Parts: sequence; C-alpha cells; structure tokens
Amino acid sequence: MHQHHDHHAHRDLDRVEEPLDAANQSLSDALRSSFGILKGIMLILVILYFFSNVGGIGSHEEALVLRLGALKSDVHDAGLIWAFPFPVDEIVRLPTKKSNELTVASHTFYRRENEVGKALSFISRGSHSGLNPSLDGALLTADTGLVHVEWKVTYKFNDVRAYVSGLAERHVDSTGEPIDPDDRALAPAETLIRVLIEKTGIEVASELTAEEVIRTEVDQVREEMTGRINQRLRTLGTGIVVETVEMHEPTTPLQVREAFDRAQQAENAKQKKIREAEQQRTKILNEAAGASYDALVEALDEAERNDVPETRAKLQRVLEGAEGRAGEMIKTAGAYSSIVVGRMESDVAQYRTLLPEYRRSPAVLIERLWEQTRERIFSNPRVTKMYRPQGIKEFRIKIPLDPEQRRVDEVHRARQQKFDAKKLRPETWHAVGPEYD
Amino acid sequence: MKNIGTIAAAVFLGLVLLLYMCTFQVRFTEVAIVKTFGKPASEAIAEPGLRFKWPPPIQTVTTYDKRIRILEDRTEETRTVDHKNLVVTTFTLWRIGDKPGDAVNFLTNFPSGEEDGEKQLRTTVVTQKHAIIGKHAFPEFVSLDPMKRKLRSIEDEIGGAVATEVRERYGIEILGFGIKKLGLPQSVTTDIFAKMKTKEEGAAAGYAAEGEAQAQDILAEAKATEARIMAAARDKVAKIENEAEKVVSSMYKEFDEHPELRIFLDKLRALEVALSNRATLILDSNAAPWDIVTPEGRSAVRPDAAVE
Repeated sequence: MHQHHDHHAHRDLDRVEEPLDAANQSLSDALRSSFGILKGIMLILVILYFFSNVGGIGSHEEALVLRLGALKSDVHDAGLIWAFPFPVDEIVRLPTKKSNELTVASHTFYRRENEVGKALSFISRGSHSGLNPSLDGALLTADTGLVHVEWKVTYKFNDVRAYVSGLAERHVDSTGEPIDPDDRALAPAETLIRVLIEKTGIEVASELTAEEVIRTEVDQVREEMTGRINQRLRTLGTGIVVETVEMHEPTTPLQVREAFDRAQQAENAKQKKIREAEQQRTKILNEAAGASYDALVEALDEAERNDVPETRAKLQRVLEGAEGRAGEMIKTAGAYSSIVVGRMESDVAQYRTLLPEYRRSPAVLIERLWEQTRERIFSNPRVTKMYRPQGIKEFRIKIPLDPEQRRVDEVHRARQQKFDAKKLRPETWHAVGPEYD
Repeated sequence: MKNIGTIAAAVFLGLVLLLYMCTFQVRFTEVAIVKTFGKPASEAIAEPGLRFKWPPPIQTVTTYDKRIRILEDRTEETRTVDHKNLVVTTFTLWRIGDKPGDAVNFLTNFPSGEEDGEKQLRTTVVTQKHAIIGKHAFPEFVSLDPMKRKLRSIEDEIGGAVATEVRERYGIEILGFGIKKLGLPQSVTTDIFAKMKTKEEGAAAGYAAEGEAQAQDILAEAKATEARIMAAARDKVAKIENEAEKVVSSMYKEFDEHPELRIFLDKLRALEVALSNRATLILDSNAAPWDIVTPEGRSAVRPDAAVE
C-alpha cells in the first residue's frame, strides 16, 4: 500500500515537474549564454589590458618607460611604443620637440571684465587711484617708478629625463592649494617658469629706470631675462630651456600714461629733428665730396691728428677719388692743367717746326703765316667784312643789339611795369614780394 | 574539470591579492619609508623598483615625491629698517633631502602628511622674510646706485636662513628662494604716480630743447666738415695747377732763341680766335688786299716795286 502510495506520489511529482524542467532549461540556457558573453567580454578586457600600453608617440613628443617604478634608459621618439600593462610599466609622454608658449601676467594691472582684450589706449584709471597690491601687478624700478609688463615666453625641453625626474607635479600657493590644478604634463614646467619670470623681472627692473624698462632698453631687458632664467634652470637641472622672453604692452601705470605719452611724443619729435639734421648733414657732405665722404673725413682727421708724409699721401689719394663739388673742382683743375701743358707742348712743337725756316727767311715766313691766317678769317662766313672807301670824310657804324639780349630786356621791362601797377593798388600790397624783384 | 578552473582562478586572485599586500613599488621620483607597527625604519628606500614587505597591519609604507617643489607664501606688507613698507611675496624651491635620514626625519616631524611640512616651511619662510627684510633699507631693494642694490643677496640671505633652520630639523632641502612680488602699499603708489608725472613733464620739456640743440650741433659740424673738405680740395687744385705751371715754365726756355716768333704765333692765334664767330671786320682801303681795289693800288704792282 505504502509502495503503491509512493509510486502514485512519484508519478504526481513527475507530472508537476515537467513544466518546471522546461523553465529550468531555459534559465540554464540563458545563464549559459550570459556566462559565455561574460567570458567573451572578460577575454576582450584581458586582451585590452595586455595591450593597454601599446600606442603611438606623436612627431612632437618623446616618451619614457617606467618598469616597476624604475626609469628605463631609452628615450622613445615618434613611432609605435610597446610596454607591459600597468602596474608593470608606465609610459610618460612629453611634447619636447615643439616650442611651447606661456603668458605671465603677474606684472600687469588688473583688467576689469569690460577691459579684457582692449588696447591700452582704451583703458583708463583715475589719476589719484593707486595700485591695489592684491590685484594689480607691477615692477618696481630703480628710480622708484612703477611699470606694467606682460611676459610672453617660449620654452622647450632639452632633456626629458631631467625634467621628469627633476620637477614634482604638485606645487602649492600660500593657502596650500595647488598653484596649477590642471593635470597636464606641462603644468610643473609652467609653474616653475612663471615664478622664475616673476623673480627675474623684479631683479632686472630693480637695476633699471622705468623709462629704460619699457622704452629705451627693451632689448637688454629681454636678453637679461632670457639669460638669467636659463642659468637658473640649468642650475636646477630641470631639462627646460627658455627660448625667448618678449614684453607685451610694456607701459607705465595707466594713471600716469598721459604724461608719459607726452614725453614719448616729445622724444619722438627730438629723434625726428635729429634724423632730419643727420639727413641734411649727409646731403651737405654728399654734395661736397660725394657718397664716400666718410673716407675723406677720416683721412682729413688722420692727417690733422698726425701730420706725416704717409697721412698726407693718403689724403691726396682719397681726394683724387672724391666726387661732389670737391671732386669736380679737382677734376676741372686736372683737365685745365692737361690743356695748358698740352697747348704749351703743341706751341713748342709748332715753334720747333717753324724755327729752321724762320732762321733762313724770317720775313717770308711771317708774311706767309699772316696770309694763311687772313685767308681763314676772310673765308669765315660768320665774319662780316666791311670796306672803308678811300677819301671819305665821315664813316659811321651802327651796330644792332644782340637779339637775345633784347628779348631779356623786354621781359624785365614787362615785369617792372606789372610790379609798379600792383604797388599802386593797396589791396595788392601784400602780394608785392621778392618774386617781383 | 569545471572545479579545476574555478580553483585556478581563485588561486590566481589569491596570489594577486597577496602580491598586492606584500609588495610595493618605489618610483624613480619617490622615496619610501617602511613602518613596522607604525614605527618607521631608520632609513628610507630611494632606489626605484619592486619591494617586499609584510602585509598590513604589520608593515605599511609612506612615500614622498623627492623632486623639486614650489611653495609660495602669502602676500603681506613688511617694513624695512628705514620704515618703508613693502608688499612682498616669495617662493621657495624645496624637496625632501637626499641624505639617508632626511625622509624619515620629515615623516617623524609630520606624521599627518606633507601638508603639515609645507605649513611649517611656510611659517619659517614668513618669519625669516620679516626678520631679514627688517634689517635692510629700501634702497637695498631698488636703487639707481649699483653699490647700494642688494636684492639678490637679500634673497640669498632669507633662503640661507630658511635652509639652515629646516635642513637638520625637518630633513627639508632648500634649492632656491626668490621674491616673486615686490610692491608698495596702495597709498604709496599714489605718491609715486605724482612723482612720475612731474618727472615725465620735465623730460618732455628737456627732449624739445635737446632735439633742437643736437640738430644744430649736427648741422654745424656738417658745415665745418664741408668747409674742411672744400679747403682740402682747393689745396689740391692749387697743387695741380702749380704742377702744370712748373711744367709750362720749364718749356719757356725753348723759345729763348727767337721769342718774337712765338709772340707772333700767339698773336695770330688770338686774332683768329677773336674773329672766329659773329664779328665785323672793317678794313681800310690802304690795307691789303683792298689796296688793289683802287687804280693807285693796282699801279703799285710793278716789277720794280719793293715788297713791303
């Protein structure tokens, strides 16, 4: 009975389990496929993990590999880089091949919201307002003046290993907060360059006047800044090199800018006057001795300082090559001398030729020469020949004026008449001037 | 078979966990100190690489960055010995010292973290800044006289004093110190502006006068140089002409035998030149060849007549 009962019970159970088996089957299938997908994803993740440190190095970059925290000796250039995944290897990339730019505005005045991007000439401050030390930056100069400068710096890395192993990433300000919170590879370099610019700017300005810093010694300031900062970077062994330090909009405080501009204009006018005088000087000396007047002045100075045959000879040589009025005078003198000497030589030659004949029969020679000359004169169509008949009592000659001279005289006369006519009218007195002379 | 895979995965994970708990990395930029039950080892590990340790809580590790760091202090007014107020901010380049005990010294002094060390360093800097600036006069910071200027040595003095104080006591090494802001109180800058204004106005007047004077000097010098050049040129001309005269004079002796012939030839030439262009020549009927125009003139031509 019991066995029968069990058998029935089992059969009942089988009947009940039949639909459950189908559900289990589908659940099992679902789990199996999910596990399969999970396995696949895990496999992909494992593969991705193993290749996580494989990548490219850009053309402007260099990379270093750290293995278990130690720096490997190779510096990798542009191309593919392969390394074990973290935590075994770590790749440090840096843009070392290109120049990086940095603006340091610590020494310039605070710009209000509506002044950002405006030119200095469009920004003003009341002449009685001072600089707020917590907002406005400025450089204190040797003459106890104040100037504003914004620095534009370009820098690059010359030793990536030195940079990575020399400079920490975290630098803090007076409140203990990071100075540059950005997690950039260049942030530490920029923070260091910024403080060195600030320090060196103060140092250089303390040795110069305000005018020298922003106007007359701008090149010196740039050179001093670059030189001193690079010296400090070398001493620290940071692998950073500053290429250029430029001053952007150096100016006196806006409160005194107007007075400064007036002084600047006055100086420009002074420079203009000097330039004009120098141009005039060049013109005067060019006209006097030509383009090479410098050489002549130098030879003159030398001969005056040290009056010896060598310097005198040099002066004569330089004079012979001179141009301008001096050169013209000398060349004319040379030509005249040649003509005089040449004519004399020709006279001597003529004399020597005629002398034997003259010794033999002087009267005939004289007469012949006279006849030849007279013939040439008489045959010249430009010579008017007149004959005074014999026995007349009076002989008058009327010579007409040269037509050219007559024309000149007429012009003068006409001008004089015009001038006299104007002088008679009071309203035209102002027009009477030298041009009528 | 299925169980073997599971067991292998569990063993692998267990090993990874054990490795994680019993090893640590020292980066090339770091220095590490192993603490056993909280007590630091006598020396720090500065060599980079993988290290072993007992798992926590037996041993723990503290690491510090051993590279250069920058620390700025607060901007504040400080007084010079000649009672001038300056607004000064400084920066310090520092790092954990590289002597064997430096990192441990730092950790012992600042067990709560690096921030405490930075605070202590800042306090030291501020104290020394006030103390040392207070010993110097204003012209030692900015002056036209190079002999008076001592800005760099003042910076070195503050940096040196800070370094002396923190090196042995805290294991901090100072690598550089500088002033990053040197200003004046707001009220003082107003006075400076007034002074600068007066100076610029004076300069503007000066430039106008200087320009005029310098231009005149340049022109005067040019005129004087021109005169010297022309004088030298005239000398040269005189020399050339004298030379020519000498040559000509030396030729005069050629005519010594019959100077009248040379004089006659010169007269002929002069006459010909004078009558070469637009001239009127009035000839007397007695002069040849017009003498033959009259019968008397022609009658004079006979065989027995003498030639005149």
